[in-house]
Amino acid sequence: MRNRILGIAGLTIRQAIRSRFVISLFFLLLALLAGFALTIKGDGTAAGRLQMLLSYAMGSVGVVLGIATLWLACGSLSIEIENRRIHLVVVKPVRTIELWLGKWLGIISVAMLLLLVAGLFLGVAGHIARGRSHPDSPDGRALRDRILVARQAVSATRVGSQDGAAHWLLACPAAVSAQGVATLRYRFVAHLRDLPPVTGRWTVRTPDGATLFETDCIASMDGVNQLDIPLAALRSTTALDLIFHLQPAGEGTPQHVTFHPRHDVVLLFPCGTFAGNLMRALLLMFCQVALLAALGLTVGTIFTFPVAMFTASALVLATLFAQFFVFSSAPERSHAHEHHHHDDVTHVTWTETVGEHLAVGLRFAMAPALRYRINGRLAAGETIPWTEVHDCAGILIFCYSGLLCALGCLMLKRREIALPV
Amino acid sequence: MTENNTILDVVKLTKIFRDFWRRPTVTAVDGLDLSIRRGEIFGLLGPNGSGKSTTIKMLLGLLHPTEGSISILGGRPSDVAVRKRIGYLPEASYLYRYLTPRETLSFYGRLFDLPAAERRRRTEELLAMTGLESAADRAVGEFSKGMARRLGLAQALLNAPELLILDEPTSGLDPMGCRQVKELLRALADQGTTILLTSHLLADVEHICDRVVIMYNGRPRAAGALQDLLATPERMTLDLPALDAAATKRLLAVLREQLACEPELSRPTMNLEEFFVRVVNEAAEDPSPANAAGPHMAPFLKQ
Ligand SMILES: Nc1ncnc2c1ncn2[C@@H]1O[C@H](COP(=O)(O)OP(=O)(O)O)[C@@H](O)[C@H]1O
Ligand SMILES: [Mg+2]
Repeated sequence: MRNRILGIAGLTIRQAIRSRFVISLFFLLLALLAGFALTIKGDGTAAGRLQMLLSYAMGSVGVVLGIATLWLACGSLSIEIENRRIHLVVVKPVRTIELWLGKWLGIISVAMLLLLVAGLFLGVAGHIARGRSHPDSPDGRALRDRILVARQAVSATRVGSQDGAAHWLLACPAAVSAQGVATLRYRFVAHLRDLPPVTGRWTVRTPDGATLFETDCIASMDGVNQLDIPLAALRSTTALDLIFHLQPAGEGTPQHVTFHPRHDVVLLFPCGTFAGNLMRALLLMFCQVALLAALGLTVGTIFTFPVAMFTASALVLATLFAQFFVFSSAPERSHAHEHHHHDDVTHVTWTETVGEHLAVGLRFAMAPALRYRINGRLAAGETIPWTEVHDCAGILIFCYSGLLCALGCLMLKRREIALPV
Repeated sequence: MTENNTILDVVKLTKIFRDFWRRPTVTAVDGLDLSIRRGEIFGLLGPNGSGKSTTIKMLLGLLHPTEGSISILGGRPSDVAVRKRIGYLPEASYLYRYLTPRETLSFYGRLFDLPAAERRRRTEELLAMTGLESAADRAVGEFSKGMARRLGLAQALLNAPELLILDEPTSGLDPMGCRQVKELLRALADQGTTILLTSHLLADVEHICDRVVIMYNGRPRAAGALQDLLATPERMTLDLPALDAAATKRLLAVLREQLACEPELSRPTMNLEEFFVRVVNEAAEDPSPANAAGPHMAPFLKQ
């Protein structure tokens, strides 16, 4: 069994290499990454640049590799069935599951190889950025403390306001190192645009009232504000009290602020290295790509290559769009809609109902697979915990790909291999 | 053996191809009965499009019969255990073009789950037997049809099969190759390998088949042992060294007395194939790759 699966996987890899698929993709990825690295300016700081590079690079590598993998997978079985090379394989004592798994392993190994290339590039880019900036300059600190790090986010719980001050409670994670900084992240609701920044004072206390850290800050009304708190100050406690006092500064500045209800006040604690986080991000991406490979292979068992490619892409796009569809037909939006057209009686046709049910069904079926987001998190220095990598592998590889594997084997077994579809 | 020496038993095999809307388009095989015994060479003959390849694909599970039953090596075509004991050479080269012959044989060897050492040994022996040693590390995509055919034959023999199914084994081969293949098949059959082959080139199979079925339009039209089918009991041939004119005259006179009609005298000629083989053998003092494929068989097949 192992011999046969590895034999088929090896053949798939060899074919991908010798048909120049791998080398073309290698250079394409390299060109893409190098293009980003050379052209992205960001906000002008090294930290901003690297952050943007990471976010663009991860996004585009994901898309390029996703398409390439789907392409390879859709063709892998369907083309061999069409040109009949499969005949010499299936008359050998090979079970359909060995055939499917071998192909799948081969394809995901190719994807893994290319992901490693991208990962290596980004790792080196991070290393170079770090080497270039002075470690004590604000830019160097931002790079080190906010991007080239893996930070765990701990949400604070709002406990109300006292004396015009907003008040939160927060439990510290178990092991907090003495080095580096934790970053407080918060956001206001801005009713108008281009409001001037507000000044305020953040106080961090232990639950029994001892002040650990206190600082004045200037915060923008729109966008995310960040405040670094030295970890050395937080060392002795397991829970924190966070207090924000607005300090109105004369005419024209806001007299109150409202914290954004959907963005918690969050304290980010460093808990790992950038390299480790990059690796976990790549593993998440690998799981997603492996699912695409499974989809392509299974669709390729019944369709010819172009039809398989079209069907698989349509499925992927439908899955992605199903989310937007559901949002747009959510109650608050449809109310807003009625508001604008008083006279229109909103008719819901049966096609709309069916469409909505399909979209909701698809969204429901695919929700566990779409839960894993990588992009912004790596660039923001947010940690991707190992537990999430495990979960993702379990769900995407064992559940979804496993299901697709079973389906693919069933269809392979049932169909007449020598009959073109 | 519980199979009491019947390797393959096919009853009322029928295949109707259908179009997308399930309407029948062609009846490729129509009520074929076959029974093949261990160790014989069985020929499935017929013109193009008579359903030979379709029959073979059903025997291998590549197509599903519309009707009829197949018992092959005591099992069904889809059984993995059955497929372990079969070797198959398809009608055209379905080899991977990016692989070299060595890699090709190694790959199919893995599918048979042969241990690495055994795989290497058989690969080398088969490459030597088919005369592909000098091309062993070139991509199969660059091969001529005959070379691909030889490699196809080599992969069919990898598992030392009990039942060898060959779809037009001699097509694309030069006369030397043809002859070598025929000699090889004869030798394999003498060792107990059962062989089912198809052909529309009758001269190629005439000398080696024990029994044949002749198909036309999917139906068997004649079947039986080749000797019986080709026997012409009302005639005979006398084969003797050339006589001088006087002796010939006396002989004819004697014969004329016995026969109602005039006897016909002719001198046998070589057929073109024999002549070709002789010329090439004389020309090739040093063996070229084409005839390096000696009559020797891969040692692992001699068991
Ligand atoms: N996949 C197919 N779909 C439809 N018709 C087919 C298919 N394969 C073979 N046929 C038809 O079946 C008949 C027998 O073909 P085949 O078995 O290949 O003949 P041959 O005896 O030359 O090997 C032919 O008329 C051919 O057109
Ligand atoms: Mg044919």
